[in-house]
Amino acid sequence: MKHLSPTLRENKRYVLTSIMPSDPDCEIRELYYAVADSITSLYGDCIAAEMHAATILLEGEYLILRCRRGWERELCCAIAAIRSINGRPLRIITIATSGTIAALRKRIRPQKAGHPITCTIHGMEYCGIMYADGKIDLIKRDMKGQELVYLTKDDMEKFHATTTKPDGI
Amino acid sequence: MTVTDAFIHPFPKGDSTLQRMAMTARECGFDTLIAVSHHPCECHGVRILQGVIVFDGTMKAVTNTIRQKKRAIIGVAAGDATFNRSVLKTRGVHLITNLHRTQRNAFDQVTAKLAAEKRIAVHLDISQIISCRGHSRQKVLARYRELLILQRKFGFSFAIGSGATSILEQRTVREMILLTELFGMTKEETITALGTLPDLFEDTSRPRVVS
Repeated sequence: MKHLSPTLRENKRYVLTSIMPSDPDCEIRELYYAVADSITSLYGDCIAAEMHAATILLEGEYLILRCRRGWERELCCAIAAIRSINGRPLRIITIATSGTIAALRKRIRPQKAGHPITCTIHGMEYCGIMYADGKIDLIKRDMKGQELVYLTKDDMEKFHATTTKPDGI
Repeated sequence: MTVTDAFIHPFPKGDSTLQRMAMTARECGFDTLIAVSHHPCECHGVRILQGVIVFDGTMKAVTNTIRQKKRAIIGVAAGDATFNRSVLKTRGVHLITNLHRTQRNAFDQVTAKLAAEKRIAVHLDISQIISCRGHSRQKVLARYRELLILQRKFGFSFAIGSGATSILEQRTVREMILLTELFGMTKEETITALGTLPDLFEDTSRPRVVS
């Protein structure tokens, strides 16, 4: 079978995005459904079909999406309108757009290393991750389920939090 | 030029502290935040202004808030046409918000002219576009489009905000531009709207020459 000549091939654009919180805990299929749902809800089925969006790669917190050339602004807007996946709050931030996946791969940075911490605030125990830039993501677990709290190192001092690392120090 | 996110709701209302939201705002391209029920300060290079939103729908509550919170940016949730006109005539109010929840005649050409004259901004809450779905989102977009037509004719200011209660609800300046494009705002209009509020605040916080 003969390949389609380059002039007849559909031109694609690739969008590099990053997912917040950095440990998304969801599959690429779920992300695809969230993006497709957001596009349909914002622009309708006709534009969604025209845009031809797809998820290409999920690498840590980074996700690469694909769309037909000329529709990248609409795709980025639909991405900005996503606020949760399966009830879990999340944010997808557009980082860059390119015509090749290789160019986007160069922009992927190694995942931010964070160390697990356990702390006590006002008598309640929390566990979470502390990042090198001073950001702390704490998980509050109670009878209702679990809830994430986002704070910084300075806030911990304000809350008089006592932190312990997993090694007990 | 300043880039302001009008109204964020940090901890305890939201799940993120003011410091963390300021950090995220800086990464998103903002230099000023208006935080509801927080004192003015500076965090991680981001200027924090105190914001108050009056939801009561009575003029008594509005005047009481103006008297008590002299150093805050005061926003009033819109009501019917009569209430909105009274609010716009009140000195000390900086912006009128929640217009997407009101009837079409609650903000007409008379109120638009008054808002331009009194230099009171109209608040556009971007979180409404993100969180609403289907019919309610269509209503918000239609209302914002109507307000944009009035703004282009009468020249009052817009103030755009993420209405975020969490760092996951904060949006970058570029995302704000894309989301406001949904109801027809241009990039230049959005950038102007993101920078207006601190200017209005500076204007009204200066001492007045009476005679």
